[in-house]
Amino acid sequence: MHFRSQHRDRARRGARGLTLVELSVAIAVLTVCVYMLSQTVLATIAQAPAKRERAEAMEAVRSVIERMRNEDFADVFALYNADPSDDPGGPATAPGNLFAVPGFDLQPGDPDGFVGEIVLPADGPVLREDADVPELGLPRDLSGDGAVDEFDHALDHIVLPVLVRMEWQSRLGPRRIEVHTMFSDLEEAVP
Amino acid sequence: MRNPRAGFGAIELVIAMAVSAMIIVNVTMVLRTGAKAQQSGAFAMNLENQVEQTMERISLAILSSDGDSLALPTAPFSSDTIDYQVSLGVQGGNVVWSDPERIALVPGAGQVRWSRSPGTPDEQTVVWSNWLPDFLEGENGLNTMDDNANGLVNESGLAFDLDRDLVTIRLSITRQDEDGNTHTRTKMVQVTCRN
Repeated sequence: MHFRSQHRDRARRGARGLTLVELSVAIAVLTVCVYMLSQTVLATIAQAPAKRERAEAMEAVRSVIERMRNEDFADVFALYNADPSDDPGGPATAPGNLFAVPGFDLQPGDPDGFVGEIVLPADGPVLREDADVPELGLPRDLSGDGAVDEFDHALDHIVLPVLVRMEWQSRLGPRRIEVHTMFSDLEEAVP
Repeated sequence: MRNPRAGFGAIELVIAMAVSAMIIVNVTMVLRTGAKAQQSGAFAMNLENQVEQTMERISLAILSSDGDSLALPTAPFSSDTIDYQVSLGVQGGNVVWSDPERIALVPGAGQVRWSRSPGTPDEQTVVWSNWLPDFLEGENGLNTMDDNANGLVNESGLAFDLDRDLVTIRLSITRQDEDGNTHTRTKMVQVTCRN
């Protein structure tokens, strides 16, 4: 008896169709599903340009390192430090430590107005082995005499650790790459 | 009062079919557009990979060459051919150099061709890439103008120029996809000769 009555109730409800609440829940669930799917698709689409952008940034950094390598080793520190007063060709004639890369936007609030930066063991004309620059492995011996001292080695260093960094604003947010390298004067190091 | 078990009327059925047809047409269009965009993206990605691979081969070859032996023009002029020798090692205190090698754009064929011992009976050649245009992307031919503002005039689809030991390589590859859309990718790499 009880089972038959339940069956009749369900049949009546089925004939009436869906209630407003059921319909709202179904639409809400469908909306959430479509939203999640579209987010996944959009994220996948955005990945390709981001990957390409990163490759271009890496190429720009590599180009900077190759241009530095093209200079006489003895001039690299003076040419690429932040101080224009020691530039070999006269004050403010060298490329310096900042560089722009066409097609890359600055991050909001970027203090120097350039996406690229070359980090050397010192900003000024004095190159000291006892400087505290852990990202370049300093303090360390730069002149090859086996000691770390407090003297200026701008003219007699035989190794120069370098960090080239790019920070830019991509469509997916702020991005940053860093490449560490080491220049050395092989003729001095291996007479 | 209408009997709820009477089913749909003809007008209801026609309206339902019309609405269904519109939805199906729209969904089909969206799917087709998506598929085309995906195809186009994949095509562009393949082209990108080809430019990357070709550039990697060229730059690795030049990296180990003797910078003093390169006979290349300086900007704003360029060459579509580079002749070089790579260091094989040191023997008895002297650097041992390889047979002469050449990387060149083959005019008309749109190919990057690498060759060893060029111009001799022992010459070996390998095509490293196809689909190079006669001129680099944005360059409009032999007009002695820097049309694409890259510092070079009249540069070919493959262009080399030299600044002391720094070789700048520029490469464009252009292809048409199945729908007739032209895709072009251009890359510039700078390499300092290590020897």
